[in-house]
Amino acid sequence: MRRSNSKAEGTREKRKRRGIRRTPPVAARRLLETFLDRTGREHLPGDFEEFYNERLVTGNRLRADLWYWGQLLRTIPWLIGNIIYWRTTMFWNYMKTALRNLARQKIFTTVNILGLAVGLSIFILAMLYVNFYLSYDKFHEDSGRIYCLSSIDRESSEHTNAPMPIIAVLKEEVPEIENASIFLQTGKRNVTVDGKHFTEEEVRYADSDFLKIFSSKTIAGEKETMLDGPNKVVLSRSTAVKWFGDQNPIGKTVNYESIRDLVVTGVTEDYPVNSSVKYKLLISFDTIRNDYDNWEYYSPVFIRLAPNADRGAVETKLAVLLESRVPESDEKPVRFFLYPFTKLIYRPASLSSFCTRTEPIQQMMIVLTAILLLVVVCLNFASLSTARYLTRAKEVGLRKVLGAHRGQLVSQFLGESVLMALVAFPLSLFMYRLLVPMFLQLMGLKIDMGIMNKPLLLLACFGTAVTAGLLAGSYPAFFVSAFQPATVFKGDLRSFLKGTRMRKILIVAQFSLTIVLMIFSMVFGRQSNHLLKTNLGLDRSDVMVVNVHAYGMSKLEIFRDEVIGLPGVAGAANSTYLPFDLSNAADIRIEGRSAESAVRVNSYPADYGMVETLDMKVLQGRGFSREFQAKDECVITRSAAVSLKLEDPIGQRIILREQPHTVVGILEEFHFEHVFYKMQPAILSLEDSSFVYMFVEVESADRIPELKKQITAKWASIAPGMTIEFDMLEDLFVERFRDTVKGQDLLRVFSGISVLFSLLGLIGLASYTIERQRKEIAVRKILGASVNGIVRTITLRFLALVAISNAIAWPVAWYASRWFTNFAWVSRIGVGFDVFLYAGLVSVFSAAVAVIFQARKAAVKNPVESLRYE
Amino acid sequence: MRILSRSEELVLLAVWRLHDEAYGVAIRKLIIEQTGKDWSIGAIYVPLDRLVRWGYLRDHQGEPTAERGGRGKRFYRVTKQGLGALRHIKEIHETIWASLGEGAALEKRS
Repeated sequence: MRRSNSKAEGTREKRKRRGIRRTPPVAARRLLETFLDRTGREHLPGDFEEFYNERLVTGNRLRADLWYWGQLLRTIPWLIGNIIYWRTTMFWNYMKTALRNLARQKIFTTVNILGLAVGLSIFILAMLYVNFYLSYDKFHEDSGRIYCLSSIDRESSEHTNAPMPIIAVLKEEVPEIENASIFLQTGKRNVTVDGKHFTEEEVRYADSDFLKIFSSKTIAGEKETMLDGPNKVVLSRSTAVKWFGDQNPIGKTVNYESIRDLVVTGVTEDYPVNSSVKYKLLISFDTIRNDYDNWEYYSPVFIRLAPNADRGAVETKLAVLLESRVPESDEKPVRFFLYPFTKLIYRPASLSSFCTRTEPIQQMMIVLTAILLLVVVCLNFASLSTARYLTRAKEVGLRKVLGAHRGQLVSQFLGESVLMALVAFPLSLFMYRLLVPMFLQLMGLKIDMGIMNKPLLLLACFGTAVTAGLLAGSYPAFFVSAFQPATVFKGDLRSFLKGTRMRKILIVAQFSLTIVLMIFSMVFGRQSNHLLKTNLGLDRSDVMVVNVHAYGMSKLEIFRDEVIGLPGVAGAANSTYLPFDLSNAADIRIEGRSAESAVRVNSYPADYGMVETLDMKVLQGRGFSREFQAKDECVITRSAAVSLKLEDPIGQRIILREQPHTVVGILEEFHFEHVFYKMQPAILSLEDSSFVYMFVEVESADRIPELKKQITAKWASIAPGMTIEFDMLEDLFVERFRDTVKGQDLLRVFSGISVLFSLLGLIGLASYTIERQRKEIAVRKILGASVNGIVRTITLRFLALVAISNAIAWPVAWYASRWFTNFAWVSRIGVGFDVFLYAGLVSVFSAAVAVIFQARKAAVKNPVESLRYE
Repeated sequence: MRILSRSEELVLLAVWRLHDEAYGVAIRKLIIEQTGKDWSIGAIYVPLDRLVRWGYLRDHQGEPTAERGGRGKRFYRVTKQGLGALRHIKEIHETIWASLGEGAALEKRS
């Protein structure tokens, strides 16, 4: 035995001299040592090194290395088993400890879990809200291949429409275009079905390709041919049910606007809410094709490209087509381009289209605030947990003495916060369910916000919950696992004090974010109020808008006069356009001057009483008057007069749409469009046809219900069977800003929640700090400090934190709000300094209330009790 | 008293024989030399652990040496119970051999 040993020794010496390595592969040895260290078999690596060397004697190094690695690999199953065994054992131990602690500190547990749940549920809300807009128009098959044929006019404005006759040549000139269809929109229309009158919105005209481009489920009829040929109509399912109940509608004849009969050839499923294209009635464009065979008539045109078609190549061919096929005219576009259909709802405001446009800024806002709120809640969680874990310092010390590694402690405490996140997650789903109806009502939306049918989103939210738990728990875990057993058991408070500093930082961060949110919501609110109060140059209060759904009926004039005769009516005027909606641009020029001098203005056909009914301010001259019997009068705004360079505008002749008009008055600027757009120069010209709306100015608002009845009765006697609708001008205006106003409300709610949780975090910090200062307070009292003095000292310490938060938050909020208002609004007001003051006051005041309560409780205590402690 | 298995018996004997030098590598080497067969590492260490658990062997940590990558050896020593167990198994062997009689012993010898 000894002999063989010394023999091995000898060979080793020899090898050493020859410079051959005699240690096993370093990586493998390291691995072996790491695994074995924990299991009390420290001697094994040494033994293995000897076995290895033995192998070096008999074989080459590669084989010895391989053998060593092989030995290592063979231990893996055992190792895994071992790990699993200990992990489960420790897991149940951690679990027990965690649950006991959670149960013992009920208030903290509740605040923490509730906080996480609220933060998460609002985060989920924001995610789904955004998801809804992201899903817009994406449900069509091949939605990525659908484009809107758009054009740039010679004013270089972009429009998502094209001349209507182009539809006939598109497919033959550009082979990449698989399908093309017009999608012509009309307003409300009257339809008579079996003697019953219906007024339908969303009446559209389309070619037979339409149903191939936009996939929709056909319920009845032949999909291929249902829009081929004139006088055919396809109904959406809801319309079919409304008109015919459970009868089969196919082949039925309905009367449209008393001008023609349409045959029902198909029924399709209604499009979902997140669809830009919708219809109740889809009439074959062949019905009216001949009336619109004019290159100056425009309509949205949708095309679907062939699967691998190159958009750029198609646009090049469209340019050729524009030159060769579109006849010259003032209206001829300078360029065609393809606008992706799925991006229509995000298009810039400069690109006009029929689709609802969402404000991406709105969604950004909501997501940003939701994330901020989640961060605030996590900070709150972190500061409360750090305070809470102080009571467990001894547990940590004991675990360390018993051989726990720091990593194990970190994972234990991280595990605890993840556990809370796991409890918070289902709770947040529950809260989300409660929140959704409120949210939908607040935002005035009717959309599908169910999360249970979206597994991916659900998973993402779950991931967020776990991540939030990990992030919120990471600082407390590292903090608490750093406790030294010796200091903990000695009762040394230094490590605790370090924790206090960090918790102060957390509180400051939390408060800063809250103050930023608060300032943001105030700035946002003020900005939208500013929009609502914008001087429109017209008086929109007490003005009723009567929608008569009919073009150019001469009876409208009679109707208007009868309405004016009603008691309580101050004035009435017919109009073609609804304010704050679309506008109609036209070129005007001074009679006798060249076409080049023309100026583009918004043009509104008007009725006699228009200026007076809407209380537009006449700066010079007069409004329209019937006394003068002139049919060619117009009034222009001051800016229009300036652009035309009119020195003495009254009596000047102006050419509008090749018709001469006489300027009778100059108006103060007025806003008839969406307030997001800039005010444009405008012209009001007297017309006697093409009216759809009537503005009725009432003398007092309480007469409105009665007037509605009287006006309805009058209309029924003039136009039997025709419907009529009422709106208030003010409501129409507010409707345009619904999103903005609602966003403001939402922001307010979010910042309120944020304030609430910051205060809870502060209360948590205060209660713990004051608990730690019991002796200090007692000594102060004995030395003669008054209760008020103590309360003041303690409160001021915390208010200093809030003051620091304000100092941090103000510049951030100022820059952010300034950037944001510049980005989002055309008409804006500056960020007022009082907003900062308000936020500061609110934060300081609420923090003071939260702390004073606790400080008093501690200060009125008998000092003997505190000092006897321990 | 447990009845030792063959490998346990061999390991126990090897430890006894090696006295102060009884640690994993030496034990295995001895057993390989004496039996002329290659014994896997596991076949040594598993019985070693088991014998320690039963109290037949006592182990103690040796000083670290540079030759073994700075690792100490774990030395084993046979306890009183271990010796008892060895004696016990030997007795069983002898009793059974004796009951076979002279013929069996002769046959084995040839």
